[in-house]
Amino acid sequence: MSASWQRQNDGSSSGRAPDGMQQRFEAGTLVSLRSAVAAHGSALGLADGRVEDLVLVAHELATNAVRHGGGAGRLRLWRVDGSVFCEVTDAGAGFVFPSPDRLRRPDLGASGGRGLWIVARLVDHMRVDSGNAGTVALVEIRL
Amino acid sequence: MADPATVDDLEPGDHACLTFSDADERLDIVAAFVRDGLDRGDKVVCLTDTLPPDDLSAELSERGLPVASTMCSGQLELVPSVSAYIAGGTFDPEQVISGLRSRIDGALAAGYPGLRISADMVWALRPVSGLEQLLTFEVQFSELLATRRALAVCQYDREGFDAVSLAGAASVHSRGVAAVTYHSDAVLRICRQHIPPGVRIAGELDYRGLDALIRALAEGVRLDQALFLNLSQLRFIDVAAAGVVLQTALGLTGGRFMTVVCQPAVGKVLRALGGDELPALKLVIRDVG
Repeated sequence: MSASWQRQNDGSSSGRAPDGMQQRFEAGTLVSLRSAVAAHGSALGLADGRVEDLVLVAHELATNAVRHGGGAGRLRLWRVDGSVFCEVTDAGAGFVFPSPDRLRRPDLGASGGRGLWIVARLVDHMRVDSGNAGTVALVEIRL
Repeated sequence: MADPATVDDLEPGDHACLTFSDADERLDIVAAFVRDGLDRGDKVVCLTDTLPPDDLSAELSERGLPVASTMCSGQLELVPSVSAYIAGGTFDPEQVISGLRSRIDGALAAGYPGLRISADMVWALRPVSGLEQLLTFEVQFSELLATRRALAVCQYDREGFDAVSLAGAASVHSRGVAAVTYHSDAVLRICRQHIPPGVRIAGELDYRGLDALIRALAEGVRLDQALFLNLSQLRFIDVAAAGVVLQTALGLTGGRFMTVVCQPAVGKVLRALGGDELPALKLVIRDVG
């Protein structure tokens, strides 16, 4: 785990850029969530192609929260040094999350399971803590 | 006015109103209207304004219509809307009707079984003297068409015309024309495309559009030997929707294939999920800027 993860996780905001975002979402606000993530991702310094990645990652994590995590959640986006972090939390029942390095691309005929796989593929670091109190997914995308 | 018809349901005598918000969708319907007319041997006149005649010619050619040969024979004419509606600098309905009547009668006298007119009405957004008589004109045009083997599709841009004008225009046409639509809201539009036959999806597509996506693709699989999925105006696709597209291609048998035209961001998702490995899928990635 990189130092910047620790810095965020222990609550210190010394290196945090001022123009992050925090937004609650549910099924009906995913479109505006994507639009806000795109705007803030750009403002935080991501190149266009990486903004597209971030929007897809944020959408997939938020969709998981909406569909499997109690129907709603909260997304936060911030930058520390050379990385943009995106955290999605929900209060759902939680789920078993296979470690990203063991994820293989789901079969083309599979009915599901692609969301977290593509998230793991697009980000530089990923961590999912899921339990009875809900799920916290945190990803890092380097600039 | 009754429920909108599709362009291939139009018949002689029809004065149809096409309200649109997507330029590509308008061109698709216009191209189908022109193609059907040329196939039947009708004379076809396109009054064009958004695009100069040369650009419209290129758009129709790109969709596979025999533009050069039919223009050469006189069967197809592409002329600026302005020359038909405001030739003298002002809009004079009587003059326009008289001009249209002689065009229709001239075409029929020349042996064409009918005349089709595609009318791009964007000129009416400019400050033109006499424009207050537009609806009166459209009523007279309906009467003229009803008595002759001619039909017209007038195209009104929903972004340009205000709601009152659009409602007025729609009410004085004999019917509306629209694409077969599976889903339409401010974010996502899924409809049938005429040329090439297939499905057209514009806007942003996520799992909430899956039901409409599945219906549209199922109909495409049923109707189209070569499935064409036009995603060129789609800005976002999520993993669930991309999975449905790939599964549709995976399910094609007997040498059938599916062409998907999309922007790089959408192409990236389809590729990441294995789109390149599907023999039945042809990905065409276009940067629309």
